Amino acid sequence: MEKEIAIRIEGISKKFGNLEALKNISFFVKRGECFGLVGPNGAGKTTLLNILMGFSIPDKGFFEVNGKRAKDTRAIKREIGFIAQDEILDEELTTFQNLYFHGLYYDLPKREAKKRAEELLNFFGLTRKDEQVKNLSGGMKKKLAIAKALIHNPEILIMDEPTIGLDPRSRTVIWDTISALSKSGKTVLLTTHYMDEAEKLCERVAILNRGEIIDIGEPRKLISTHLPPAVLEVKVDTEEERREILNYITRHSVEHRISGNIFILYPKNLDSTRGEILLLGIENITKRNSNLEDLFLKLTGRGLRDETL
Amino acid sequence: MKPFKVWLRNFTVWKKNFLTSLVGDAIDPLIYFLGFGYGFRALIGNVDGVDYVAFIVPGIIMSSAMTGTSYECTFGSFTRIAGRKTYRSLLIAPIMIEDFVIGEVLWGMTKGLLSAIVMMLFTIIFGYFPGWFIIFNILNILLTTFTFASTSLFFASISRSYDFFSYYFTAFISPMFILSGIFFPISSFPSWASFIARIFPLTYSVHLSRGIYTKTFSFFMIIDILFLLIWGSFFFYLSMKFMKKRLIN
Repeated sequence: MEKEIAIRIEGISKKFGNLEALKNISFFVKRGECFGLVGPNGAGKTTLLNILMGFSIPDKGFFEVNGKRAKDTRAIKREIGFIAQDEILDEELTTFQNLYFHGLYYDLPKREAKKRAEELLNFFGLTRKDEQVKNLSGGMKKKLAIAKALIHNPEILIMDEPTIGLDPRSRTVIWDTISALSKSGKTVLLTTHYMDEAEKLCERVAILNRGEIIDIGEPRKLISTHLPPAVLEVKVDTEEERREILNYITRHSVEHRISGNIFILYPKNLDSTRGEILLLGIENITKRNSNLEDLFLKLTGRGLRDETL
Repeated sequence: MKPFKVWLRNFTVWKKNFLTSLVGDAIDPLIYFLGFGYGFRALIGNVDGVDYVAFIVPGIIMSSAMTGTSYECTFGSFTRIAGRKTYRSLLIAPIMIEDFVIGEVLWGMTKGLLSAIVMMLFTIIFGYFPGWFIIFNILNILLTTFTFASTSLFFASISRSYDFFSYYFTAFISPMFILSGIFFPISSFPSWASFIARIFPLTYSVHLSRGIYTKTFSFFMIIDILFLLIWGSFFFYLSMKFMKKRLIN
């Protein structure tokens, strides 16, 4: 049973001054699984990854990675390929040198490091091996960061917001890469505040809010437990429309969330509610399947991207 | 082995522009050597029984070791921990902060050694050569660069910005250059100044080097070595401690 678990985290707490960044976090990641830590900025996702990598020491709790104990940071790092949000490429080195040196840091012999670096450059289509890293595009940099994490062929990959700041095309490419790595048997732990990303890639997710885990499970199951299968999304354009919809919601006591000028309704009878709202003269209304974003809103009362809520 | 990989990484980056870097490091002490040496010789002639240029050669070499190392382990190291955050790209691999600190110290020592060697070659061209005693002088350079690499790296580990280093250079490195007995014997200072000189590590490097160049060995050289070792080790310890504090929270 133990062998089935790649990462085990138990009771981790961390304070920065008065801020409780992590409160008693426990979960495990199964071998070969793609696991998502989902939550808005400031939920504590990066803090947790920093703890796993030894960049930050927890106040309480312990963790194991492939059976290696928390204290042995050096051994833990060998088990992991880590892709941080930024600052993990060496800007003073070329693309090839980035990979080559990373191989040396993992004690690969020089010949082996060179071979691995060249293989990975080819695999990721990074053909200009003598390019200075600072001249690469965002998508290329991310690819290089992933290549770097693979240099020592680790079983476990940890990625902090793998597609943040990327254009839609690069995003798809990175998603395909992560899927392929996951299918090839790698264990993946990723953090994201993009719900579509988590739903697309992750077999299980933990929903993290203000340093606490609210729920853990398969995305579809979590959604069906907490939400009806579909929701209505109403976009209001004027103050008058806003008043009208608020009025309607109170009168019929419809369960709802508000995110800026978008109202998300979880009515009992979806189609009749839709018809009634259309009659109010509000036309911008769509029916769609419930997703993790709704779930997050429902569980935490705030949006993932909307910090003001 | 790990610290050596940090060293190799720095060396690879430096190699690209090594000539510019070497010339830059050597130019200052060179100007002092020519200016002070040949300028003052006309006025002074001999000091402590030796020709004035011969008097300043050992110290100039040591000052060049000090400057080369100090620049690298302040501005250079600070760029790697705060500016470019190079340390992150190292620490995601199984490189520990201890490896990083030792690697930075070794690299700083290398930079100082290179500057000192350039300076030494230059003085050899002008006819100042201590024969095979030069081996002792190289050992002295290594000790001196260790001392200054550790001290500078400690300041880099607590610094919040590059501005901080201007204090380090104006309040520590520059006075040392003038008051460590490179250009005039400390014994000629008023007592307060010679007291200050005796706090400065460079004074001990210069004293040691001068002994090597004039081939006069004395018991005080053991004190020189001990002073540099203790000073260097103390700041090495502090660098390690404060670098951990800075990079792990």
